[in-house]
Amino acid sequence: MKEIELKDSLETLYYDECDNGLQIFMWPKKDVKSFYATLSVKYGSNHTKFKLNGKNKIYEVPSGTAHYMEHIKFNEPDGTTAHEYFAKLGSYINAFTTFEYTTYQVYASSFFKENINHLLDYVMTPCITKKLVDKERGIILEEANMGHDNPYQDLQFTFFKNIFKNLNYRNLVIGENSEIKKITAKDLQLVFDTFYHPKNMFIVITGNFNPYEASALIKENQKNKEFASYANPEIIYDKEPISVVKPYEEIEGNIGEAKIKIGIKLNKARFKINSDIKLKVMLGTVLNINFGLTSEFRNDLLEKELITAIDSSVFCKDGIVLLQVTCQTKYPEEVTKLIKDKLNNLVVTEQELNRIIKANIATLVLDYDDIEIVNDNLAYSIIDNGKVITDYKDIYKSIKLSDIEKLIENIDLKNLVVVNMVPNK
Amino acid sequence: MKYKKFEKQSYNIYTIKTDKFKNCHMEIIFRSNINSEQDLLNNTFLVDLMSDCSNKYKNRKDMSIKLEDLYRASFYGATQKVGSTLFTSFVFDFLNPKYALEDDYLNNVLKFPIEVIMNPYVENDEFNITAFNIVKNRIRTDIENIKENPTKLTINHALKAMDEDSITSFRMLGNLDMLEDITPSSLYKTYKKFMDNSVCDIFIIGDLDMDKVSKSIGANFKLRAINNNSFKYTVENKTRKKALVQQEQANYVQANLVEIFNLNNLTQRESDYVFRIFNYIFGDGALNSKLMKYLREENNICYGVSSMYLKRDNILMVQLSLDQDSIDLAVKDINKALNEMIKGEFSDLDIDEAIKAMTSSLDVSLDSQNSIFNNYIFNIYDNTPLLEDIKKNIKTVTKQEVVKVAKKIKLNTVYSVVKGGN
Repeated sequence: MKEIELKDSLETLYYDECDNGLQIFMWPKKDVKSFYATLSVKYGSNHTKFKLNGKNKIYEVPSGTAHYMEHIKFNEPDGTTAHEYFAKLGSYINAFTTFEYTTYQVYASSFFKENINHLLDYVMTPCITKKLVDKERGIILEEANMGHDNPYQDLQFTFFKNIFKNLNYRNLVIGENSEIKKITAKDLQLVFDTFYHPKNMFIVITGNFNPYEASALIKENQKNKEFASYANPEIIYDKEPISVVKPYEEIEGNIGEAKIKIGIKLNKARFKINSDIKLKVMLGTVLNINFGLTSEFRNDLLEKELITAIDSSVFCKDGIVLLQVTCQTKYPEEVTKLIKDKLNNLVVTEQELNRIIKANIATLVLDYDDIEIVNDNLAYSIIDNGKVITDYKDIYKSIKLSDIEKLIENIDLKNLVVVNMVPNK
Repeated sequence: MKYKKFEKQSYNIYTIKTDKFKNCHMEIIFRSNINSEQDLLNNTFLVDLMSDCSNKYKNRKDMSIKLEDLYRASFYGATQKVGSTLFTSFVFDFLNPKYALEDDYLNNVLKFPIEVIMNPYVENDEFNITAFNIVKNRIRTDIENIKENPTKLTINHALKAMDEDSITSFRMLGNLDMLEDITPSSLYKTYKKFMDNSVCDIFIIGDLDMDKVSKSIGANFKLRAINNNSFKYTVENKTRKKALVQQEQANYVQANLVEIFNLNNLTQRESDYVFRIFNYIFGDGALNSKLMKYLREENNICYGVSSMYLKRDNILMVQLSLDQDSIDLAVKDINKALNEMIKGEFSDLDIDEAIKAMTSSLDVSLDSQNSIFNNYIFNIYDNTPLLEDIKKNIKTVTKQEVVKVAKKIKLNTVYSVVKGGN
């Protein structure tokens, strides 16, 4: 067992690893009554094409398979469901699927041993039959249809489809209805056998528990399980060009006021910053200062009654950086022009930078107030950064205005996408 | 946790001292009676504007810079219907002073919300027109955007169909005509009325020296008016001899169904404890509830169904999104689930599971600053039991009591929004 000091919050994280490769991350907090455990599989909706054991054969599953798997996983071999088991303990369970990973959650305040053991048992035990797969399809299609009534989802994925030529971010996590209809028990079994392996999974526990007892419990549980040898799946991504697919598209939506989404696609390598985390922090700071609540630009657009809301975000994955600005306006053309001008003239002052860094550092401690947020952040960091970040404070302190200015010099609007969603006629 | 009350001349300060959280949370609550839907919109507009600017901080940018200087404190206004009472609150979250570099952080941070409330951005007896228009545009968009959320739209329309004169059906944002009636000058009148006639209390939770907090607030927050109005925290909604069935058409992929039930004459024990157990077994207990069993697992007609207990409105609301061809089957399934509850067709094991789930959920609430805080507010205002007491008493609920409660449920409205038209 390793104790990892989280410098930012003065907290201690406990780390251990089972013989079969399952990683264990724990943050005990004695003054709470409950605990929250998540078992994550590094398998998400993006992973539809892969090779196994270094061989050339390519396996391909429909988009939406990861999410379908999440639904099927609640079934147990004895004909019951995981929900029934956990209900008897008074625990609450759920799960979610993202582009990159699938997480199974349990919240409880008693029966720690039973909860952890069964979380590991039901997720790691296959129970995939044609009957169960067919039964679940109607429910998943209804879930997908709920998403189709969400204009924000439509705006986001139209935008991603116009930005990405090959990367699977262009596809809905749940999958299109036509893809959902294609998913078979065989696809799901292949995914289970390949990815639901302890070497490709990790468990995070936060809340009231003893980390030494928890670690021993998990190791004992894993000792009694047998897994085939890990197939070392290699995900196949077609190379993503820096050029965009479609620079402009107008779509209609069930909305009150038009929404525009503007994004610039950039090659990450041009920034010459070794640390992805630092790059994301720096880009986030630039966008926050220029488009956030404290920005003159935002204030000006509001006062001129050109917009009612504006937001920005940074995406940094697979060698691509994407800067996104979204806003709500009655004047999409004029506002698009103004946002483009602003993206061409990003400015950060020493005073603004210092103020944001000071606030960021001081509030790092607040991230450790809630066992659910800590657990989710840890899991996200393990997936997104490959590790737990223990030194955000040092990262913030290392950012100089000159670094930011150099970063801004590397931002151009050559590969720009605008999606304009207008109210249904 | 240590609870303490400080009585000031025109308001009270209620404090919860705990070292469980690094964040401090404060709400300045003004209570008033709800007379019309316009009241709700007026106050929502007012707090929205007051959390955007003040005489000292002329816009949201200046306010946000100040909040960032205060270690990214967060400040916003909120309005909430609590039965027939309107809660207009200013919500303020800030860092525990022990993590701040400045010695006088506590005093400085506490001055912020008070400064904003006492000194709104007013010129010549009306709110500044630029700030006013920013908020007006935002609210107009929010009203127009209701159609972006079919679930919310269906619930709103179902409540209006149930009884448009009931406070339960009043929308916080009213409608576009009501919005047009508000001017910078009328809003200033609303502010003056609000400051003169509302009853104010301050609630605060955190690891703070509460005597110091009380002293600091007392030195800066001076309200002229002393009000002792009484408030009603429930709404009695009318029942119907025969349920109203209504349908409208809209441009969505899925249909939406809402059923509203009256809850007749629940006792205090029934509303505080028994109904929670009823609802877990009936519809709120995730995949194990009767509604999920019939609607999702057996008939596969929806992804999820929610069964919401609106305690203060004495209603139960069931909502789901589904294919419109399945509406009749869904109505049948909901009816079947309720009839089973009335006939006692559930086991002691179901009660046991519900009690365990509630206990666990209450433990989670006891770990949440917001849950502890909100529970304390209602404990003060209408004697809602504290979370610890709910945990203790919920264990005593029996099957007979759940059946008795089920018999008090009566269908009022079945409302659906289906595909077609706009």
